[in-house]
Amino acid sequence: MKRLRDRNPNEFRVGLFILVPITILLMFILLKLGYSLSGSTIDVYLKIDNISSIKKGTSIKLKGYDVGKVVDLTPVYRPALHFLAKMRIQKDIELHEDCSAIILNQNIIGDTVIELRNPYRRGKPLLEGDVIEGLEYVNLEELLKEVNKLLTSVTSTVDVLKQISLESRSNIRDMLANLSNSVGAVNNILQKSQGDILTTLSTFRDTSKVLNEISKELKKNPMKFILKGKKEETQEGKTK
Amino acid sequence: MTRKLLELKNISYKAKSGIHLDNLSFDIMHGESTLIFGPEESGISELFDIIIKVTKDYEGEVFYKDKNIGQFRHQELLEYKKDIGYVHGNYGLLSNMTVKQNIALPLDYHTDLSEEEVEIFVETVAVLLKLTHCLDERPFDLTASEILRTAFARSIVLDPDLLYIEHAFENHCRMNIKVIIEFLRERSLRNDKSLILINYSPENYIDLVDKYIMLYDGRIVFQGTTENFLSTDNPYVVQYKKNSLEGPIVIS
Amino acid sequence: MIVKLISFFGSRTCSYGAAIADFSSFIMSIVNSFKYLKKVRFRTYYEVIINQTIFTGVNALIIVASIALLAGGTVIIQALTSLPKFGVEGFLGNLLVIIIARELGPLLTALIVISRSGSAIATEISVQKWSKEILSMELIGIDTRLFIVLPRVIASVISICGLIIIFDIVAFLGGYLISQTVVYISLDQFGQTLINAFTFKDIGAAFLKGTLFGITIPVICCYYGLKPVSKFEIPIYVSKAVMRTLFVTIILNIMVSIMFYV
Repeated sequence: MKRLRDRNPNEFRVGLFILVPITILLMFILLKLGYSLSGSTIDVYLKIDNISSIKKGTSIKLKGYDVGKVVDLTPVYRPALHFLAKMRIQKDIELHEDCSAIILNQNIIGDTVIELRNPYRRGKPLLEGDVIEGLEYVNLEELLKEVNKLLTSVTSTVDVLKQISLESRSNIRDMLANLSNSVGAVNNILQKSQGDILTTLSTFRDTSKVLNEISKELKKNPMKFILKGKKEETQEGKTK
Repeated sequence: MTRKLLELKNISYKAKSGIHLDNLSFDIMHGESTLIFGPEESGISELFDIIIKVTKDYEGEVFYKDKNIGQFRHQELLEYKKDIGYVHGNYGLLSNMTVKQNIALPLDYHTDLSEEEVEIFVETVAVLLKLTHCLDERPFDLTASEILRTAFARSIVLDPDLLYIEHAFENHCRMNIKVIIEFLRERSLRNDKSLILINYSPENYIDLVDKYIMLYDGRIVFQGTTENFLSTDNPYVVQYKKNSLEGPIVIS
Repeated sequence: MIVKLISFFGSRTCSYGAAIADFSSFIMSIVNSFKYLKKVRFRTYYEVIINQTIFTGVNALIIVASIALLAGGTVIIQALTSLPKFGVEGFLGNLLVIIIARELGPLLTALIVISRSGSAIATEISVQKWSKEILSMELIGIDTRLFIVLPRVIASVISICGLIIIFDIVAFLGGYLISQTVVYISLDQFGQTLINAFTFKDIGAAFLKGTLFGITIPVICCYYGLKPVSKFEIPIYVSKAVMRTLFVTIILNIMVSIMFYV
């Protein structure tokens, strides 16, 4: 190499100048065609919000069959803290770009596994470096915690409702008592004023009688009625 | 020396500069060395444009080895140019090539010689013309005579049948270009190689050429052998030899 | 006034027509020379091709790489300022492929080559013509049109195609580095989005552009390089060569883009 470079440096440089871009281009084309230089496995990424039970070595299954494992976990700080789990998966397993990954426990107390599920409609094949999105996050502990939280809140709600109903019952009782009191008071008032009403009514009756007489008298001799008053005044004056 | 190598028949030409050639005819035989001279604007500098078909606006015909060059097509014309070695006053060395590359260029372009053979050939010519010390230098590092010798080497590597040297030896010390003169003298002895030398000093090459042609005002005013040139009383030649302003030649 | 205007446009049109005819005859003479290509020995071109590739390609690497790095960075800066922050990582690859690989890469590379090598070619040839080097080459029996233009075209095509690839790669790298300041994307993931965004059509278009630029730049510059008849005309024609080549290159770029993507 050195001898070649020394013999004709320009040719050597031009050769490099031609070979480097061609190599880059060929690599690009090979990668584009889906070939991988890393051998029989491909590395894909799983975007997860919480690494809780996932660790290096967590196995990855497809229909229960072991297809690979998690080899690395990297935190991503931007835009919000999340994690990328690098999954090394056998290359000859047919996976699709929009497959889903479900984190679950093998049984209640068993280890966590990542279960891959191919979608019903199959899209492009999953390639080296792809990121699996649309993750379904199922964790028993978390689920139980959630359910517990839910139940607690439901209980507290019911308590509050019960309390409210108890408080309102006494209030209604008070209200009813008040109501009957006010009815009694009205009755008392009515009873007390009964006599007065009768006398008032009889007074009205007498007044109407007098008025009837006056009207009759007026019809008979209106003049006499007008003068009657004067006569009485004069009689009164005479008596004085 | 019987066959014609180059024949110009009734050439009339008017250049843009006003210089013209007027019904010019002459022949160059195989093995003949000819010196063409004349004052400035006599048409000696326009001759080559016609011979090599740089210009097409002329009347008359030029024959090279009995072929009319006017009818040459592109490739034939290139072959024809290859057959003529040409050295001119500007030398025309390729400035981005070394002396070795300049000399090797015609060999690389026209022959099937291998790289090693070309190198050997170039070195032989370099030894002959005393250029071995500057083979890897570029033209701007050379002296005037080295440039001339390189240009001369380039014109002779293909061993052309006709060598056309135009104003190349002016402004050079004869001692520096002695190797070239010697080479030309030896070459002139061969009866298959011809030479056309355009020069303002015809008397310097008496031992080299065997025919003289003098042009004036686009016409041939003298044509003859070296003896004729030396002994002629042609008023044009006499005036030219004397460098006199009095005579038929009018210098404007 | 109107008569003057009309005659001005008339004379301009005529001169453009004459220039186009002249250029066409130049192209035709080169095409005609191609008929005798089999008689040409490639070794004479070899040295010129190597030297031209060194000058046009290898020596331009640093400037091309720096401009590419800046261009890639600029594109990403602009993208990040106007695109939403979340989810942008999946889009950066597409953006770089669309802007850098399809348009900026070939065009900027061509501009660098024009300004460096185009002007150099035009100057070199006009000086060679003025010092009668071209004439003396012709008199050796060399087909100068082919001898001057062909190696430069070959070197130019090689150089521009190589430079475009390097420009794209460095610009992607620049884009990646700048994007790291705002969003985290692993290099693998970034590379994958780039590969996904790239299509064979993009590669084809870039190579077609590279080849077309590689042919037009030296041809136009050689044409103008052979034009000057005296020393004082050299700068005039060199400047013309650069300007016309720029113009033609931009037009060609648009035409290829329309052909491939519209």
